[in-house]
Amino acid sequence: MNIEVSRLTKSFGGNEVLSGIDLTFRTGQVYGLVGRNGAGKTTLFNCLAGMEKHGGNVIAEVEPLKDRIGFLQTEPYFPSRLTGREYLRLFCKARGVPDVGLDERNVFDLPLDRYAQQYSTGMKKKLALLAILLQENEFFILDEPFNGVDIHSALLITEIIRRLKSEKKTVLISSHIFSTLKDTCDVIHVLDGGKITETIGEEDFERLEREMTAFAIGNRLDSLM
Amino acid sequence: MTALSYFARLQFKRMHRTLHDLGVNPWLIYVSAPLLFTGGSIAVFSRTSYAGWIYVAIAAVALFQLGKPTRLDFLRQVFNKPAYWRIRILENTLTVAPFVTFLLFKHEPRFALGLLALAAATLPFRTRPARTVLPTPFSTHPFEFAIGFRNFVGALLIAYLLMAIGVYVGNGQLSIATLLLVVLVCSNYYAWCEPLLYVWVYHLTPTSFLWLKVKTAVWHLTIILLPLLLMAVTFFPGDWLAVLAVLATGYGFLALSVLAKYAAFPQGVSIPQGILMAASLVFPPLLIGSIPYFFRVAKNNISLKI
Repeated sequence: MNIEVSRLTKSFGGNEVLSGIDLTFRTGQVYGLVGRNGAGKTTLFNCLAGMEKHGGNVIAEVEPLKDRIGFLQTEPYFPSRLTGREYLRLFCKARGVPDVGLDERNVFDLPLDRYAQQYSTGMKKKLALLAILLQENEFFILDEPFNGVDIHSALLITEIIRRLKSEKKTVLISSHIFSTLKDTCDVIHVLDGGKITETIGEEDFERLEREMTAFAIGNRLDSLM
Repeated sequence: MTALSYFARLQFKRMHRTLHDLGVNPWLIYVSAPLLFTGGSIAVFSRTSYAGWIYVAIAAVALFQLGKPTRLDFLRQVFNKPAYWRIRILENTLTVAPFVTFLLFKHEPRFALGLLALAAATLPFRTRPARTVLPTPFSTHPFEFAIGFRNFVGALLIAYLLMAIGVYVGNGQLSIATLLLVVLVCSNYYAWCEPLLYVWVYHLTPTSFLWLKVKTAVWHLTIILLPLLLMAVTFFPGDWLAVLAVLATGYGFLALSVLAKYAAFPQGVSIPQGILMAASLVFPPLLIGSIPYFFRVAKNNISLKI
């Protein structure tokens, strides 16, 4: 699904968090979004998903976009005493897709008949990811999909992203683990100060990583250790 | 300022902000709460000889609320052992203090002492998160009734027990009141607001979404209510009109609870809205106006999110 984002702005009171974001998402492409804490990544995701009011335009090839987005939040929330299976059913029913064969499609081997709130951080992330995969969305927003998951699941998630790409889905990911972006993305956008400051293709991923490392570490530890 | 006094100030600030966010002047509550408590207590003690027990039950619920594990873990993490226990003792004492004071005023020293003993006994108490999954008939259509049923299964068991007692002693009014109790318990399932994502995710228009929620609530309430209803009409056929009135009010109030939740979403129902809901329950003809009102507000509110 092709999506055009133009002049997207978002303010909280007098604090402008996003100022004039222009982005283009093309079918079958995987996009990365990097930025420091507080750069506005989650706010941008919320705006794209239509969960926050914003200025500017988000125009999708097929509308309404929100009904075709699978949104994996940084910290998915699960009410108490709701089982994993019930959570998956809820998300399927909400989008009108069949909620059958959940056990066969449970690729992460989650204990679906246990309360989701008792899951570990990684298991919660996998349950939320599984729910949006079952929804058969066209556009996926994955906010820190590798947070807290074990090494095997991280490999599986990487493969899932590749599979989504091959199935012509559009994916937007943020991750604090640069290697996961390097392994999956076609393009990486750098968000800084509420603006997209750089858009980088695969050929320049190494350079971006070097620059980020230099910026993040530099000589700042000298004053501490 | 010590950590303890700072913590106490923070607690007061949190309470102040919560009241403010509910759309009411906090100072109005600070002034009216003692008056309401005293008035309510006088009313309870003048109407029933079980007032002391009712008091103990209310205070026990409040004390158990203070024993939630996430809350206690937080206190343990922040404070050292002596400070932790001082906070627990202070909280439990303050919680039972109004009840103890009124019980002493009513010359009920045994209940007052019992309540203090309960406050002391619950100090090391810690509610445990549920580990075993309670099966429910509502699992296929999550989530309000599935969660509510598990959280308040005790209340439903009490309702079924009251119905059995009503039938056993031939008290039709008790049986009919039990139907209303079940409605109130189930309406309470909608007191909690889910995160925005749980509404956003629906591929429905606001009207269809609200209709789906009301339809599911009505269907699920019927599943819980049906056995009780059959017992009431079988054993007290002469009370069919009262049963019908309770059912009409009950289903109306349930629909109102669903709509009120989404009228206020993602915040909780405000105090003025709560008063309108309570008035509609006490005087059911008001439902004719309050249901369309809450539907309109909910539809407009949800259209911004769905």
